[in-house]
Amino acid sequence: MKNWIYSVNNENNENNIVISSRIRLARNIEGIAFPHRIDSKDGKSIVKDVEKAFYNTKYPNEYFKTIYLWENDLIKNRVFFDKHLISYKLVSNMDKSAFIVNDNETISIMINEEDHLRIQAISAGLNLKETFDVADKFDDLLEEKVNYAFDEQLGYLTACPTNLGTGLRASVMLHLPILSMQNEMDKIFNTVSKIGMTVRGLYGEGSNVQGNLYQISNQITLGLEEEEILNNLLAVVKQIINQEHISREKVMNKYSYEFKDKIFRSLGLLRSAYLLQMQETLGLLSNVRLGVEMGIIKDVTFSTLNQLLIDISDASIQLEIDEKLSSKELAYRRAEIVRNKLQMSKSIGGDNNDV
Amino acid sequence: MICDRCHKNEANVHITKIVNGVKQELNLCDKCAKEIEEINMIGDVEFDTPFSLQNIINGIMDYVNYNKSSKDVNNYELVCKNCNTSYREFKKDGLLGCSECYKNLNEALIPIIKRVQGSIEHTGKVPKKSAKDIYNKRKIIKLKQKLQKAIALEEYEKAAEIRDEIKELKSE
Repeated sequence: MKNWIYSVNNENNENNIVISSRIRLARNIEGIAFPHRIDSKDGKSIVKDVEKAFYNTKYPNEYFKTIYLWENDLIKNRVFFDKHLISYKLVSNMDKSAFIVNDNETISIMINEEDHLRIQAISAGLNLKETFDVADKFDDLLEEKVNYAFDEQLGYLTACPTNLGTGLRASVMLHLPILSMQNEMDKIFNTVSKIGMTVRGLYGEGSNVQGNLYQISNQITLGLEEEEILNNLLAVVKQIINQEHISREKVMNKYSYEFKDKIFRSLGLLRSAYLLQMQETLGLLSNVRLGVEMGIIKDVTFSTLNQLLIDISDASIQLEIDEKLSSKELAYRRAEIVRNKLQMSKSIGGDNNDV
Repeated sequence: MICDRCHKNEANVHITKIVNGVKQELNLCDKCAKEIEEINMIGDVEFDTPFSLQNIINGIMDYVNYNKSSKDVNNYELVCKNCNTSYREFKKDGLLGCSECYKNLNEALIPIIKRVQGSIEHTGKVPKKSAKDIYNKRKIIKLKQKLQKAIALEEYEKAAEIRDEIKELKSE
């Protein structure tokens, strides 16, 4: 499995509008109260038990470490969230939550999220099957040592009935600028919700859509086999990809100059701006991404764009700096990060950091 | 009035929210209000949308209750013997207290699960160790289907293999 942020090739294939595939399995330990009903002391002892179980399994030859959220401040934890390594729920439970993560940052086992265990695997591109197999393998490994709450009729028992059964949430992150521009997303949202799926923003449940990035995931978890859930999602995602491509071609044929103008203006802005707000940056990055996806921009990689998605967040910028930055200082530093990453105006402006 | 969050200090920040026509009130002290604000301030992700799953479940539960009569009043008083979570509490945040709740509040939960999931029959993965009997039972059912297919296709060698596999599982 490839890390979705750092190891993405600029392959020119039809699936390059898929940013990442993610699998999440919700599991609980039999008999004991769910995380929202336990205090920090009991929570920490669950973390210890899971760690003991995990590090004693015959997991593959890879380096894993545990990160205890209670040892970090909110900003540091928030950066893990920005990287899609953990969920927001894990951050808000930070007095008792932790996660076990591999070196490549493709597998993370969240402890004391909404459920005791959330096994997550995330990889670059459209890669649901392999990603599922990895999560499934870690589920089997943990199950050797942990007694899961399971019911013959209802399947894996979860804190919220919306995750019952397989406990499987599979999601695919897509970049859909043209469908968004043509106001097609509402229609897509309505259609997929009829077949037990849902469309969400960049950061998953409850988040707004930013930078034309969408997550499509299954809503229904009970009554279907894992493979059916994955196949259904894959079928829907492929259709959406196809629709986006058709729309792109149409726009490109009809408005070729306007199209290129918009893309290169956005790149120019990002390479020269001195103050960038988050929303604006995400919009411009979406235009640049579109240019890269269509082979119009050749000197920017997907890896750079994906890294920028993380590096420009308030928390990532704040992480390196001790004092609390004002929104103007954040905008200044954000623009600096973007300029450096897109490698142009390094010499302009010098080292004057005064705002 | 005491703060809803820390239950210690005097509440002097009052928030009223109306979700799906249901009024919710939150009374906080200065300190808790600031902390909540800090969590919300960092980043610009909006988390408390009216269409979050828990809110939708809540709406469904209201609907289920509206359609039935006195029986639900009893459901309200159901309490899980293992963790003391009541149906009333579940209704509030859409979360159960422990895995035993599904047994202890079963009667009240099944209609809700049916509405949320459209099904109440798990057909997916079964844990090998925690539910060994069910795992074997389901595997045997699947193998029997395979066996029928093999016989229908006159693949007798394959059928014999499957038959032996079933025998082995049954003897475990």
